[in-house]
Amino acid sequence: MSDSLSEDDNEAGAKRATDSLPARFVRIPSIAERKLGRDYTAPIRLDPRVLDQMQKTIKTLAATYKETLVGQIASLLPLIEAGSADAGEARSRLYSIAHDVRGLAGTFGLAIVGNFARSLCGYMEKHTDLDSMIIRFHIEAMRDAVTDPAPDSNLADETLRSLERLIDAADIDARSFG
Amino acid sequence: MARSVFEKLTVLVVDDSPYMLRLLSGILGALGVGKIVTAGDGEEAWSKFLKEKPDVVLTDAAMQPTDGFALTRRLRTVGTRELGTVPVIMVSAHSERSAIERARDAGITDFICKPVSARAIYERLLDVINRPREFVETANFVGPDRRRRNAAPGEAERRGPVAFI
Repeated sequence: MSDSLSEDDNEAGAKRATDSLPARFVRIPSIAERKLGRDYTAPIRLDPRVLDQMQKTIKTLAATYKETLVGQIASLLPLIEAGSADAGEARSRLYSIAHDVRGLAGTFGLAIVGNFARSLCGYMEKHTDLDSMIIRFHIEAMRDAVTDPAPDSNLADETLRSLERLIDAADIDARSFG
Repeated sequence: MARSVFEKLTVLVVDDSPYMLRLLSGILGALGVGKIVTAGDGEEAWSKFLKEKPDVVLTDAAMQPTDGFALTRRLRTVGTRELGTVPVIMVSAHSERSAIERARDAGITDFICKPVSARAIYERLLDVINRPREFVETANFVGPDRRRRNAAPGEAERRGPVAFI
C-alpha cells in the first residue's frame, strides 16, 4: 500500500502506525522540488565553489579551536586528581571533554589528538574501575600532540598502540584478579 | 541553482557541544542555508522543532536529558505526516555497529560519523533534499525504508547495518 504525503496530513503518526498493519509505504516528495516549485529542473548537484567556501569556514574556525582545545586538555589533568567525594562528577566531566575532542579535533586537522581522545573514550565506556595512570597517559599524549607544531604521525601511531596495549593489559589484570 | 534551494531551507542543528554547534552552523551558513536553528539537547530541540518546522534536522546522538535517538522517535510519531517525515541526519562520534543500528531503529534518515567534513555534510544534505526515502509505517516502526534498493525476486537481500541506513 502506498500513498502520498498530502493524503492524510493530520493523522496522528502513532495511530497511523498501529492502524495500518502490516506495513504502509508512503512516498515523500523531494524537498528540492517542493522548495523550488516551477524553478526545479533537475536534482541539485555539488558545487565545488560552495564546497570550497565551506572548507574555508572550517579553516577559519580551526585557528580559534586550537586555543579552545589547549584549554580543554589543560583542564583534564586536575580532574584525575580530584578527591573521591567528587570522583563521579570528575569522571563525567573528563568523559564529556574527551568526547568533545573525539568529535571535533579531526575536522580541524588534529586527527592525532582526536585518535587519542577516541582511545580514552573507548576505555572509559568499557570500564567501571578506571586506572588513573592510563587516563594520565592519554591526556599527556593529547597535550603533546596539540602543542607539537609538526607531530610525527608514526610516533603518534606507536603511542596509540602502546596505550591500547596498556588497556589490554588492564583488562587481563581485571580478569585475573577481579 | 545550488544556492537558491539552500536559501529556502530551515535546518535544525542539535548538539550539546557549543563548539560543534558553532562548526555545523558555520558550515551550513557557508552552504547558504536560509535559516539555522540550534538546540543544546533533545528537549530544547523538540520545542524548536514544533515552532520552526525545519526541513532537515541534524542531531547528535548522546545528549542529556533527551538524546538524539529519543528525539528522532518522538519526531517520527508527531501528529502530522509532513513533520513526521522530516529527514533526520544523525551526526555522532559513536560509530559502533550497535549505535548505528539503534539510530536506524529510531528512524533516522542518514548517519555521519564525527569528525565531520564539509563534503560529508554537503553530500548528505544533497542526498536528503534530492532523493527522499520512501517511508514505512508499521506497528513498531515509523521511518525511512531501511532498504536502499529492492532485491530481485529470489535474490537474497544484502542488508547490513550501514548499507541500508
